[in-house]
Amino acid sequence: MTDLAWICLFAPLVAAVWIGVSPRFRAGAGAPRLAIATVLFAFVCSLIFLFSVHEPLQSSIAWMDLRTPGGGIVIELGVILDQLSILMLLVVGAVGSAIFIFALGYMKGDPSVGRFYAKFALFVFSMLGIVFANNFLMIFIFWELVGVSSYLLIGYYWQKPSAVEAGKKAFLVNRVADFGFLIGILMIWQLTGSFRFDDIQQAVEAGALTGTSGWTLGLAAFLIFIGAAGKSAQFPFHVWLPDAMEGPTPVSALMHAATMVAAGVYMVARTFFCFGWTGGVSWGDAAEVMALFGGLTAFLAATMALVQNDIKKVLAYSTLSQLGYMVMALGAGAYAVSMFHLTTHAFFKALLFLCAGSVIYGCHHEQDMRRLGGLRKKMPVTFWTFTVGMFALTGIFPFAGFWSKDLILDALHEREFHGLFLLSTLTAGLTALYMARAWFMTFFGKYRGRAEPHESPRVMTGPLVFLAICSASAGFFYGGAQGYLSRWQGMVSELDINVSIAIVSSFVVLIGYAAGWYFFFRKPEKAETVARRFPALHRLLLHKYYIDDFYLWVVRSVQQTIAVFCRLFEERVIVDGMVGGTVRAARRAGDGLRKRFQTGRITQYAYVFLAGITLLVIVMVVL
Amino acid sequence: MTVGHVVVLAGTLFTIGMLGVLSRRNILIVLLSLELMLNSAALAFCAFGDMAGNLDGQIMVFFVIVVAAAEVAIGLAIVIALFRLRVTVDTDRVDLLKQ
Repeated sequence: MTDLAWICLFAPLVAAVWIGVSPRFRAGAGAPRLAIATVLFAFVCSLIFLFSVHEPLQSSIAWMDLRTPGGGIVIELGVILDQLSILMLLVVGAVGSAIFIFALGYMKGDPSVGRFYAKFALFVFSMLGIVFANNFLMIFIFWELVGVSSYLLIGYYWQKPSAVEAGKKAFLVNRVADFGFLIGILMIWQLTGSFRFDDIQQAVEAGALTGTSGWTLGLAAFLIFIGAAGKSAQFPFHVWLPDAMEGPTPVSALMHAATMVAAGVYMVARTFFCFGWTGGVSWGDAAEVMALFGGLTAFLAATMALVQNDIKKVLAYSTLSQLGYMVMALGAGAYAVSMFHLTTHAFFKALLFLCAGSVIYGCHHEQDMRRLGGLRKKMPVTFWTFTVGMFALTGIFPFAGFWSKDLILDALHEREFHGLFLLSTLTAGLTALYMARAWFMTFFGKYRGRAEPHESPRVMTGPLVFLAICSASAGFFYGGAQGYLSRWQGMVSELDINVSIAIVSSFVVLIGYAAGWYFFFRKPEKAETVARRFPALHRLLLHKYYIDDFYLWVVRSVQQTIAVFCRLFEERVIVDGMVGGTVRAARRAGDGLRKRFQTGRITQYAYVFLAGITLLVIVMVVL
Repeated sequence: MTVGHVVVLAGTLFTIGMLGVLSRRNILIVLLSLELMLNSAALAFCAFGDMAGNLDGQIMVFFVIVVAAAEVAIGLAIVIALFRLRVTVDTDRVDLLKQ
């Protein structure tokens, strides 16, 4: 089985390299097919694993042997096959396959489609590396690889300066967060002497890490969470994700909705033992901070989504918000629930993004909702699948989101995070509001664009229908998924739907829909009145809480000042003072010696000679 | 006349020669003074050789004479060449080495 996992991991890399190095192959029709084949292979593998792997399996090879007689480390590459990785593999495989096929239609006519698929395959390779990783170093390496491929794909339209900027921003923000991650990994290594998850788990659960070590572990867990917050775009690292929408829409769907941003959540679930919900050891502070950040992100992102006009941006903020839910669930210790929401979210968010892609494709690359509208009749398949996705996202019974979101609310309630519980219920209402806004603006009313819209070809609507079926039905497996994941560690407490919470949250969602219907369909002018009534709030939302501006200010003012100071220090003190000073001193000494002693007068030389001899004699006599 | 007397004489001659080298500017006088220093050293060798009762000191004198002859030959050749080139035997006016 592990052999199959190895093949499954490296197949996309082979595809990416082959497409990359062979220009003729890259230009042909074989390149997309090869890339699609590798991701379909991953999907098939995940199904095989799902039905045949019952006990966790591991296999690893020593990649770099840095052992010294006194200690040292071995850097391992390994694959781990357990319930968690198989579920994640299923998500990556299923959603990835649908998106890869969708991209065939979406990228049609693009001259460098081969390049696109090479990068896509590289991304899948990196993602599978994270999924299969059995140690911290390997996960970190693939973590960075995901960052690189994300950078490459966001900047795919390299002729567009904004796309290039967005790619750089995503990469830099992730790097900042990864720095925390790396320090966390090293701290854990220092505590336990191992990078392997199973060793670390044993060390932690043995309960030896108390006192200072326990405190250090809590700090390390927090640093690891910072890494996860970078990839999963949690506040305050969320700024890169909306900008990342500059990439082609399939990229947004695959990376910035379904898989890459889920990597952070997956990683925390994978390393849950660091976060202190097992074995009676309690240093849950990192987990509580995590829940707090998750809740904050969920709420802030939902409010920001309310004022976006770009259909992809709305979905991007919605992704942030949903990731906030997942992180909250992680913070509440409900790993299985979080992973379940990750799964359902991957399906319906990929679906929504692909619908947006279909809309953009059908309306000749128009993605501003103010110039869309009335597409219900023109693009029926897209409309219905989008509706399914929207119901799943907002948590309408019985679509997928209803179950997973409700379980999260349930988990928050059980852990008595009352503030977060209220906040996330409110966020559910906001979710309904902004999704209704996007829905009405895009599919209802009159068409406000110029070019005539048309429904997308089968190769695009096919994946939409597939994902819609998944989004509609995935929720029913909530018991099965939790039961499956509980076999993973045997510690996951199974939650069931709490009917009263479900009724309350559904009610809030319905209010959201009603408000959306009233403000954006029935009386659109009312929405503007409200916006004008609260100008400060509206401006705050439009400027995304000035977080981007704050970062810009930090870079421009604080960092720039320090940089200028450092440059001055370097120029004046280091170069002019120390380097130049050494040169000047040597030259002056040389000048002095030459003028003082090298006069050319023989008598003077003779004096010096005599003095030298006298000195020698004195030395010889005395010693 | 003891060894001490001869050594004092040799030291006196050496000092005279040294002062000549250091103080005179005429290059011929400088060369003469150098000869004086060499010969005072030879005299000291003779005296110590006599004291030791063997011929070692006198053998050294031969070496000194040979070296002195060679030195004078080269030194005078340089002086002649210098005079041809610069029309002077003043050491203070021969200071091109400083450049």
